[in-house]
Amino acid sequence: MDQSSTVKLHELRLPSRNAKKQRTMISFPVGKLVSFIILTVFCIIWISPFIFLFTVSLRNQTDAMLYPKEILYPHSGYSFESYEIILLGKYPETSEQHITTGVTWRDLVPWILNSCGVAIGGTIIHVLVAAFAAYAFTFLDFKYRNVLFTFLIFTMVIPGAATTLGNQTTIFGLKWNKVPLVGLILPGIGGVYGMYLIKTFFSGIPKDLIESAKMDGYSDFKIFFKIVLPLGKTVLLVQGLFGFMGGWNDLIWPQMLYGADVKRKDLWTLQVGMAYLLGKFRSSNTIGVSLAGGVICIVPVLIVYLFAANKIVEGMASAGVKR
Amino acid sequence: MENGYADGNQVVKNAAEANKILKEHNYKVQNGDVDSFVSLQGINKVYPNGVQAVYDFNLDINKHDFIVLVGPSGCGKSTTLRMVAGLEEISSGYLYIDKVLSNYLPSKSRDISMVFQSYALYPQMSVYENIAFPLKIRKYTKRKVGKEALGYKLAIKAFENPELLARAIVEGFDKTVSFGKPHEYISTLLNISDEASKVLLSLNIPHNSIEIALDYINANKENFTVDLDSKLSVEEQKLTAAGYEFNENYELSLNGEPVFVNERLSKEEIRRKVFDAARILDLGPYLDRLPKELSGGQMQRVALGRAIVRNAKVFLMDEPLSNLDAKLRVLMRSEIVRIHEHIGATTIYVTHDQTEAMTMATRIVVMSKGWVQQVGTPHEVYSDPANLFVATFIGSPAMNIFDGTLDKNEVTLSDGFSVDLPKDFKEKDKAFYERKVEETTRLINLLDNEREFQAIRVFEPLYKALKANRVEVSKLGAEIAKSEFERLHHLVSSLEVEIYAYLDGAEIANKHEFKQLIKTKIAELNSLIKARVLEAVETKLDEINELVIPYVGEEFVSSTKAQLVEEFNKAVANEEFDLDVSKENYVEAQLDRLIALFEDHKKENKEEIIASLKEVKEALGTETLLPSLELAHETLNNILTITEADLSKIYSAQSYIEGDVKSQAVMTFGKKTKVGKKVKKVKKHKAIDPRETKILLEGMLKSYEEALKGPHTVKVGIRPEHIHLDSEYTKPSKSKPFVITPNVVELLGGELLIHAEYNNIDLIAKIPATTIVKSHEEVKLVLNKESVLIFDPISGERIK
Repeated sequence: MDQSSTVKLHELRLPSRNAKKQRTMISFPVGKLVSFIILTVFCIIWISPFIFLFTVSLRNQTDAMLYPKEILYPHSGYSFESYEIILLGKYPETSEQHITTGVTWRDLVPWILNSCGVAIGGTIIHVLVAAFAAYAFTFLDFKYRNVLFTFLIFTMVIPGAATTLGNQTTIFGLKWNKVPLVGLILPGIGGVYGMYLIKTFFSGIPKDLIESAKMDGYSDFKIFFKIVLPLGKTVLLVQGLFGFMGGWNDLIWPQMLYGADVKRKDLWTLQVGMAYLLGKFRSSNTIGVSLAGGVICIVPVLIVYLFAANKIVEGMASAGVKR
Repeated sequence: MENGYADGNQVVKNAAEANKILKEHNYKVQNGDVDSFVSLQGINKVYPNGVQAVYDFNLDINKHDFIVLVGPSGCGKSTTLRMVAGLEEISSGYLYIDKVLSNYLPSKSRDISMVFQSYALYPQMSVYENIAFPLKIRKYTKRKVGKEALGYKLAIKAFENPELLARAIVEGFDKTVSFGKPHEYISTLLNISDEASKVLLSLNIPHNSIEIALDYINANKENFTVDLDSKLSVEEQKLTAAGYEFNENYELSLNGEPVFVNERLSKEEIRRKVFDAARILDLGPYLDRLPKELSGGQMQRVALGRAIVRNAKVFLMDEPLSNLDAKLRVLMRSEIVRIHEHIGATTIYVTHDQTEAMTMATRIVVMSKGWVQQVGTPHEVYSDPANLFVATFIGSPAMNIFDGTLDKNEVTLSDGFSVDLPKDFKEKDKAFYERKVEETTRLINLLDNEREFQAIRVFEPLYKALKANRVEVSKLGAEIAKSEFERLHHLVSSLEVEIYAYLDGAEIANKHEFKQLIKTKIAELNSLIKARVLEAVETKLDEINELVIPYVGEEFVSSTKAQLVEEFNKAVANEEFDLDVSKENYVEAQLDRLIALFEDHKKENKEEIIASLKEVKEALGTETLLPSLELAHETLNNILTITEADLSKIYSAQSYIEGDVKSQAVMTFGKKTKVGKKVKKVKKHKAIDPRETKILLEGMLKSYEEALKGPHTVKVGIRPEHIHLDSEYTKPSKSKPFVITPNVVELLGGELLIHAEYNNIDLIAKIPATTIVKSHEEVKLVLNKESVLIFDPISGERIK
């Protein structure tokens, strides 16, 4: 046989099985493009309220209603007119209506302080109480523990709004609607959800650690502060953030407590104050003023998020994962 | 008693006074009579759901002992350890640690330290902090020291070696060498106190390089010493002014008496102790790491370090090596033994691994199903196992157990191979079975108290209701009736068991079908009892009787029928009890019934019981009801004279009873048990069913008596290493040879493991690998007659 014409089978180049696949890979990825477009559209729809919020708050009264065609570039340019109206009560000369709100930037200071008090103070107390309760339910053995816990979980079924009126009656009876903060913070510190979240995390801590420390002579308080808290700080941070958001954004409860009393504006939180202001600027050409109020409300929360973003994401992830 | 302990042996009038004394002594009780260092006396553990994990645990542990609790998982060894640690409550029994009753002491007051299976290292703390953790909280009694004066003195002393001092100061500031604070490094390197190193630092010696520092020290040495000397004398004057005397180490005394303080360890002392522990365990390079950065063996060593650093009275270890790989386990095993010898602490170690137990222990406690099977040194447990369980559990590969027949001094296996035993064995065997017969008869007599069990059953609900002062007549009647009907069903099922026992012995053509027929008939009987129709019950009984009379005999049938009918009538009467009767009348009627029960009874203390019951009857409606009721309750409870030790005997008998008997008659002691196919929940208190237990014990007695008469079956145990090749073994204790065909031959180093089918078991023999043995080729083996163990098949106990 002629040597040159022989072909060993394994030298034969078989058509690649992946050839077809590779070709499609190189060609235009239609599927990816479609999904990219869909996602982008949804993304824009989702963030459009924020864009709207920021841009419209920076317009003149005359431009206020000229959206969507001039959503990013109003023809008379950006101005801080709305902020001036809401903070300083200073209206532009062209303005036809002058609404007297009786509120200046000086009133904003107690509002922000009150909001901070509720959000930070309330959160710290709540997290502490919840962590104590979670520790007891996880590591201490006492009578009727399971019964109590089931009862607490059951209370989560009851919507918050159902108990608000009762709380209001109590607080009014105690005259705490004349005192700053106390009435705002107290009803919230026994929240079950936070306790449940923290307990779930604590259950993941090996019991041996606690027993070992007990044998070494540590009391429950010491164990809580030296072992359980350092291990559970991520979940406490997450719960703290939830608490902060809840406290900062809450409108109904502060409104019920202090909203009716216009003379004691110094007791209001930022949300109550803004709601009051927005009520004044209801006409369509003052929409910018309303939105400026919204921006003032979300800026502190954004700042908190920017500082704590890393920790929060990490905490959210680890809170769900058992050790 | 000294140290504020109450004397555990004093006798007081009543519980109230005892409580008062306990409270005065802060619940600390000492018992001078306890000889051993740690003593566990009759410890039981019953969980709240009624499951009993540990039965009657007795153990005395001496100082420096290394006790290993070993057993299969779920045998209660960890529970026992946790009870000693104070992590589980002790249900009953006494625990003494260093003569102090520790049942109710919290674990921190027991002065014990424990190594957990999971190591329990704190993930957020470094190795150093982990080891130091137990030291930070506890207070120690120490000699009071003039720290400032001592500091100056040591600082002066440090100048004697300027080179070392210079090095210490320079390296103390060098972050690549010292990770802690400079003064910590200096005091560790120069072996001086923290105060002294702070004094040295206050001299502002330059720390740029060793040469500069050394020059500076040499230049100013004189000045420094003079300066420090003057400061030292000031401090000394201060101490003298306060009225103290001191020695060269500045340990203070007041009027010749040493002064002690009770305080936490200083940072310096903690550091010293941690470094010592780290040195023992070779943990030096890892002290600043976090637990997650360590390997398994290192984590294990940190856990050990945390235990030894506190120098506790007792060490507890709960399977500390089970998370390590095989090689590391062997390494750590010797490490633990080394540490134990080094510090000499009393150790209790729990493991399921018999190799660990055999290599580490000074004494082994073998446990099974909550009972202690044997306590002894590794050698004792290995060569003199108390029963079949220990024999098969200890030793690897396991002991070969054959069924055999014992006739005089010769034991014969089923294929006819026989081994002759020492001459005195016959007497041993006889003595063993005589003892067994005696013991079993005693147990049966204890159980032979139908009436007492019945009395308890009537009295208990009455007692509860009267005590709570709420007698709801109708409810009570129904309750008692219900329990009596349950009892009826029970009676029927034990009747069934007895009939089967007879049938098994008889020769019947279609045995299986016949049994099925009986079964359906008995099911019908049960449903008739449920329907409460006496006539039908009687006819059904007659039907069954007709069927079984040829096999069980007239006597048995008539007695059971009479009993059943009587019980039935009683139960029905109870159920239909007139609801209009006033509550006193009802209670009286029940009490009369109880008294009647005892009046024609042969029990010795029946007078006492009857008297106490009559007292209750008289006291009805008066103020003295409760005390007399309690008295009667106590007296009645005392009737149940079955002790835990007796139960243990019954229990161990249970484990080795084979086949039907075991499944039919299951002992119940506060456990969920299966009877037939129904799972029933038994109450927490002693729920021994006397009938079932009696059947069981009578069966045992019968076979013990048989064994006394002549040849009887035994279990023959021989360890693999006591089987030898016929051609190689020459000792006089050599037995007759037997021939096997190996299925598998394993070569393990210098030994051959031969697996072969012999007398229906998988025989394993371990012989030296000097001779080649091939599988599927016949070999001739012999036994070492001296090492043959003989067990009683019923109780499982060892005869020889």
